[in-house]
Amino acid sequence: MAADIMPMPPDAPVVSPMPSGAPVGRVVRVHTRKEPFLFFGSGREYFRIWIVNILLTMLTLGIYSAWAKVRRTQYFYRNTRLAGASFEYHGDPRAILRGRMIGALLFGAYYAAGLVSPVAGLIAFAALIAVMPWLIVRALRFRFYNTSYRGLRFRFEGSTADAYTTFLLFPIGTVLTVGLLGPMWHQRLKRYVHTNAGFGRTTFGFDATVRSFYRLYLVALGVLLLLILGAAVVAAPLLIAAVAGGASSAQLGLGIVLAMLVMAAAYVLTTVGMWAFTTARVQNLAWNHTQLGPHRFQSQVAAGRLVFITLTNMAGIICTLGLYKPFADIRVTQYLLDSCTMVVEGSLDDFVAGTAVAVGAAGEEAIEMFDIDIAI
Amino acid sequence: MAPVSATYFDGRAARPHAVTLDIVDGTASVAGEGVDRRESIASIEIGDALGDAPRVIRFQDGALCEVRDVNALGRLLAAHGIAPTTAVSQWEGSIRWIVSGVIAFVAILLAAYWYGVPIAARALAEQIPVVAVRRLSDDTLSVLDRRLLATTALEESRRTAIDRAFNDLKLPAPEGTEYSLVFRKSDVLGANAFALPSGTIVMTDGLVELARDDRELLGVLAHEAGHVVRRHGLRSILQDSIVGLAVAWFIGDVSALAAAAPTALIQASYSRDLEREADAYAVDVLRANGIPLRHLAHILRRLEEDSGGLGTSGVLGYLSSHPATPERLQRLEASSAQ
Repeated sequence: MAADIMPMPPDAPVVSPMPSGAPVGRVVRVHTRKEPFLFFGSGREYFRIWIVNILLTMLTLGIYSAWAKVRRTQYFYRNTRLAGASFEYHGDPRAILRGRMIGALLFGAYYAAGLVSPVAGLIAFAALIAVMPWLIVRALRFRFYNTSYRGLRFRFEGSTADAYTTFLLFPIGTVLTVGLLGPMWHQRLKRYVHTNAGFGRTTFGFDATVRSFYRLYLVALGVLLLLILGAAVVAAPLLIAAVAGGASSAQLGLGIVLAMLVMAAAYVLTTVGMWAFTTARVQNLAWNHTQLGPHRFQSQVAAGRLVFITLTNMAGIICTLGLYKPFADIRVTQYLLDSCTMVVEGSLDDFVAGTAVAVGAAGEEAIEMFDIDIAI
Repeated sequence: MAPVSATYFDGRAARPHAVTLDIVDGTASVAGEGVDRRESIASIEIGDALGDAPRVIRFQDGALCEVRDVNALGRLLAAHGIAPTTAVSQWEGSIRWIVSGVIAFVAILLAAYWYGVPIAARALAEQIPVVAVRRLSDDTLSVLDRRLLATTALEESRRTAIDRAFNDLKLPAPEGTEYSLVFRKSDVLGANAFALPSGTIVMTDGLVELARDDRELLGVLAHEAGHVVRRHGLRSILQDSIVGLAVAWFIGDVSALAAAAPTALIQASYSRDLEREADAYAVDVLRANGIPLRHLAHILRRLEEDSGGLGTSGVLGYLSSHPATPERLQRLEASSAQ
């Protein structure tokens, strides 16, 4: 979902020296300036779009969902402004609908195979895993190709072979090494997306090292241990007091209930905290090491702030039976984009169009069906 | 009608051109910094309004105009007889649509919670093949045997007696339902009994010791048989999966793990519904077999006392997933009085 509402940036790719296109034969005095990503979406406005999307999707038994997705994405893209121009989404709802049907078909086949026999289910699962990288490449192409800025399209040219390494071999390796390969996999994933994407004729570049990803995850592990320790320190006295004091069984029960409530709260805080911490740090690491031609990016997401936004969003969504969801989406996007800046060397006017080929949506929708976040 | 200011991009380079956009005699004209083009209205694509977000007018060659003053553009279009926005966009601006949307959304959500999910889970549970159910149940029991359960310490004669009484119990059930009763000792679970989807019912030594009359045990067994007949095991797994998916999708972005808290609350309420259903089945069975309902009520009350209201860890889980015992007793007594 994150990728969904994120106007191109956070998950976009980057680098390499600007190929052609730079004016030749004229001395360019390069000066550096920062261009912030501005977001103008409003919760009240998006709520109307969201609820009408839901209503029409229900009335059409789900068919409208493809059009809904286009409207939603367009709302977020068009409200994202960089250096005076907005982003635009060009996804064709009919292509998305076809993709959704293919996704549903794949999922149905997998489900049906599971009903026939466990072995058939296993084979279907393996087949699904085997086509996944292929689907992911298509999804990335669709997403990038259908994003434009200043009239130029983005593109994605990662090879299918590399996708198999990134999305099949590395996950398997990560499982086999009990996660030790995880940080390296994450770096490869970011690298795959951020080096194979382009804007017009310019390509993105990426130079975050494997080492830096290991460092990030090491710190995350430390934070996790601290959080668990903190939760234990709070919950333990309650339990001990309950057991030691344990005069009546009712008191004992109360103590246990209290301790369990503290544990539940600690559980939510810990998972949200860890999610926000890694999301923030990974976004910062990836974008601070991403270039587009001569230009760079800066990302300064604060984990604490993201935790606060996420927790209050969750509370809001639960208390309103889900009606707060559009406001929550806007808040997160607003914060992530507010934290992002482009460091422009010279001018953004020099990009030129590359050759673009239209691509189908099958990949992207099939991927969403199986709940794989290619936002990465 | 005043022309509208816009930014023009030629689709080949990223350079912006400040322009004004006007419509004259069915022709759109764009003029400004190094730009002067006219295109028939029919050949351009006017992007729909989305709140106050900038609108984009696209030309066939890939060039485009970005218009930030969407109100001015709307007026310009209207003045030339062009629909300023699509119907969808107008609905988004209509209070009536928004209010109906909210009502429909909440209604569907509640309907899904009360009817949709349970009905879907019941239908799906019917689809799961017997082999899979058997397998699932056997795996579950072997995991429990390793972690929580130990060999029973009850005398064989006692076990046989209970088993025989259970076999004699007439249980209305669809063709092919087979029960098997097994005894296990468990310090963690205390006095307890539970059913696996395949029809295996596990009863702990603690429960047998707690009973003062074997008919009490038959009451509990009838309740557990109700879980089997109504496929509660599978249904609750399916309901939990559906709710889990829905909540994770909705709370989204975060991790599916953090979404577990609200999910657990909904699951507990489904679980209580299933317990009530099993109680109702037990009432029918006991009546049909001429066993007074008070026996089931007695052992429920004793289970409650045994746990000290809110006691050992096993019972805490039991209490939150079962309806409150006084409520169950009341229902039973109401049934007895009839």
